[in-house]
Amino acid sequence: MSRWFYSEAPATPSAEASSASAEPVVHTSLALNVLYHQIRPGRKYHILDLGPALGPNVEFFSQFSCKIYIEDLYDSLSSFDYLSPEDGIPNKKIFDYLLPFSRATRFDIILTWDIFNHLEAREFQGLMRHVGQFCRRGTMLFSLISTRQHIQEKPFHFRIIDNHNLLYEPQSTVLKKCPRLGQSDLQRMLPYFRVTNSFQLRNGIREYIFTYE
Amino acid sequence: MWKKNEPEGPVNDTQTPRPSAGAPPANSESSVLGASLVVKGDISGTQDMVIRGRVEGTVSMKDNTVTVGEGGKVKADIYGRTVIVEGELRGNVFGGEKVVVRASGTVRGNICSPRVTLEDGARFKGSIDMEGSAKDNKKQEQASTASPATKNPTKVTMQPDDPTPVAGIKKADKSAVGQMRINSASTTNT
Repeated sequence: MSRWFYSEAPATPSAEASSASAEPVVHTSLALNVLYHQIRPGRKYHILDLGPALGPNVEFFSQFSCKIYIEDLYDSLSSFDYLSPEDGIPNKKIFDYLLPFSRATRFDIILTWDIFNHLEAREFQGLMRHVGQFCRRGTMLFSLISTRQHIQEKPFHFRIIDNHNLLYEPQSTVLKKCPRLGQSDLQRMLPYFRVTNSFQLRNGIREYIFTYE
Repeated sequence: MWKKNEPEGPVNDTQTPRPSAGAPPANSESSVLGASLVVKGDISGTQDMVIRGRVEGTVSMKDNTVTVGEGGKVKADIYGRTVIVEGELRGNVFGGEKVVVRASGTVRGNICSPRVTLEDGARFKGSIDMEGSAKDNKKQEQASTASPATKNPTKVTMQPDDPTPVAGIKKADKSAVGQMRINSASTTNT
């Protein structure tokens, strides 16, 4: 059986793990606010959202003239378990299939949310190699990286409340070990992107905006 | 001795309720494609349509409302003034005015409409092209000060969140501290 996600057996409950809750919580998002202020009125933006389709997020971006591609990568990968790298299928073909975009597509904004916390290195690299083809100079990539020891087994659903608040909706109370990707790890996985903004939040999340060069 | 008050004479016609503003034109009766029906081909017309069966092809009711009902399974491109999806749709949707994907709806395809609403629970993969919505939303903002909201009321708690900026990186703005209850009404753009 394939293993598409960085996943281990549930962690032994610890002080940090015991604080995991199923309640949604609102947190300030400084990176979202930066992203919001980067968007210029009167221009059409192409946004790739690798998270699930959420009404408030669509509504938030509807205030700009934009085209949003919603791909729910976690859902796609978790239902894709009949094919895996062990089957000899190259990553490229898999992501070509899961994220089929026309050659001319170029994204201005990529919302990865916290998906990077849930990918193995080869999946991460495969994803970014694929997505990189559809970037242009100035493409902004928004990412939430956990710095905690343990994270929920599944990615959060992040609902945009307004330009500086996000509602974190946990999708699981089961915890797993967090990869705790550092900036240097991310830079290695994200060739041609450089960090333009980084914010460490008290909730253990580090928000990044990367820009494609 | 005391008589019950009873209306005398015929009811005054002026008291008959008038149709509400925005009522569909007289010739726009809804047609329903029943749950057991399967249609392969192109459907077009000038009336509202509710699809409860299976359709493969194209559905074109450009000036009317097309609804994919809860049991409906459509593998087609849909053109309508308003398109509502409560069932399954694989195809592209072109809504002249708006497209609504209900909580029970699943859409795999592209949506092109100035207004798009996804209810909580709706499943969607594809692109949403809302060119033209920016102007509409600006006008709405001027008319009202309503803030974005989710469909289902959700009680949430805002934790004190005082982000600590890393040295050399941009300073964080001060964040709100304390309890914040969000009780939301339904989504706008409908």
